[in-house]
Amino acid sequence: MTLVDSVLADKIGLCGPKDPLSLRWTDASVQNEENSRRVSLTICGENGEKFKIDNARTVNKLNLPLQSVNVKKLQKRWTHLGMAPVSSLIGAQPKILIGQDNCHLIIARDVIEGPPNAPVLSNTKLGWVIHGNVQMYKQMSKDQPTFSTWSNSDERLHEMVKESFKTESFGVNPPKKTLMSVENEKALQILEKTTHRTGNKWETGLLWRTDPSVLPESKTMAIQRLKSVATLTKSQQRK
Amino acid sequence: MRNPTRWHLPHFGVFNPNKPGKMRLVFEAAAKAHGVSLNDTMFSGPDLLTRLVTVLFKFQQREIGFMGDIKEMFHCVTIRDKDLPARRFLWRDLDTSRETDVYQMEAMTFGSTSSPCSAQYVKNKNASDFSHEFPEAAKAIKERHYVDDYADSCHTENDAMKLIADVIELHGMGGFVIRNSTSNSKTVLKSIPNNLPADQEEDVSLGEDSLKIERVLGLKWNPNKNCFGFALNFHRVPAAVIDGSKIPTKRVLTLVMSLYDPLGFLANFTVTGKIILQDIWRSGIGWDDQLSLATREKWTLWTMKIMILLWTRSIFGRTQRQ
Repeated sequence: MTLVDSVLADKIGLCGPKDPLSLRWTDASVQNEENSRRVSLTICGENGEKFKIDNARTVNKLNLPLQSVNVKKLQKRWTHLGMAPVSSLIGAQPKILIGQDNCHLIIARDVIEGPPNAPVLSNTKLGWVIHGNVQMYKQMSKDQPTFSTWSNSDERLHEMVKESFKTESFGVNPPKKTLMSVENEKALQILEKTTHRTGNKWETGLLWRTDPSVLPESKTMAIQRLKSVATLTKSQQRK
Repeated sequence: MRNPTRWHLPHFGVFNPNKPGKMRLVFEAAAKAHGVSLNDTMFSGPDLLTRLVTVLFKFQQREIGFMGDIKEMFHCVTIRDKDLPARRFLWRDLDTSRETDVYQMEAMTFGSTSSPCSAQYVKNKNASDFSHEFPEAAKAIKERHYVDDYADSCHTENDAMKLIADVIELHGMGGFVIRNSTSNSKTVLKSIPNNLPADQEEDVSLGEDSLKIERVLGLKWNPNKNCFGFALNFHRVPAAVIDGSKIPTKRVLTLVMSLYDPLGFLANFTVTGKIILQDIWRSGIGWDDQLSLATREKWTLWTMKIMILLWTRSIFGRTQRQ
């Protein structure tokens, strides 16, 4: 699925029907996009060729991290990066995420590789793309072809501790909300709605299962019961 | 115009053997007409009560214990006008010669399936409303209350006096009146204004110096000695059952089950009674039959023990501070 930032969609005047969207990310976190719209757009590659994208979905805040790529600087280090035209980026924020439904736009048609773990160039219908972790390469020693990961050890330790707690607390997390039967929830809703202070007293409503309820005739039964209580009282008095 | 939901509740009076001379009027919401009762149409609502055992534990936690109850809690809360036609009842003031009048019960009633939950909800809501002004009292009302009974404890008499005053004031703002207050501290007890006296009972089990005892959440509590006592419901049990001369088996059931012991002070003892009951049940004799000779012996032995062992000290031993 292709996602478009709603601000960008508004800016370029994309229209389409509202269709709520639920996005599931890592750790089962769910993001609900109540106001997502289903839109179509045309995208233009570096070489001027145009492609249509249908069924793209707008999302409220795509909010992806800013990216800067200094191609000139990278080319000085890795000459193979000079073999294809790639533009530099300064603080660019991605506003469209092209999904697998439009994979013809993103799959690599050509690949230019350098030394192991150096950035790689790939050619798509939309133009050339740089892949790879530039930061990672920075720490590589010149003499030894070994690498250390970029994340520092504290962070790893932190993650490990967090992970161990996660395992321990598996399945025993306190629920965010007290779980309750539908009936009890309805009862509480009635209580919340009908309970009012009147001076220094309280007034509340009966917890009807259905409101309004239709009840059968009951006066005959009440009269019958009143009579039997009276008879009982009399017979007890005689004793 | 929709027809308002209309219902006539039958009523009768009940007497509590623990509160002689006091009749409680019950509106029987479970009574059926044409196969439907008023209770059938209501939710019972979630159980909002703090567990009884929790309240009893907290009552025992600190040196100064005190308790009280809300006077006619259900009657403190009124039902909104819209629902009143469903709460009609017939009344003729015991005069069978005349036609009945129709009344509408405006207060909450016993026997209605939704009353307990509604009463708790209102009590807690009233406390929450003033939780900024009276944080401790609001917490006490929400967490150390069982139905209409409030039982709590503090470290010092001053703390207790302040808390009790706040709880009374906070309850008052919702129309709830605390009565029957009692404490193991005379100073605390004296500080409670307009304290409506508790219906005190003669102490049957702690008889030595004829002390008065109080009821705390169904248990008997001696504030002077600060210990719990037990008494069997002897007024319901004929003497012949206790001495074993004439014992229908269902009487055994009544006696064994009448020992109310939520904290299990007497568990090591009551288990014997339950074993006897189990034996009777296994033997297959009817509930109206007399006990067999062998079981009768065991039974008499147990009732004799019960007479001797009628009270026990608080296992928490609320000791005096040095």
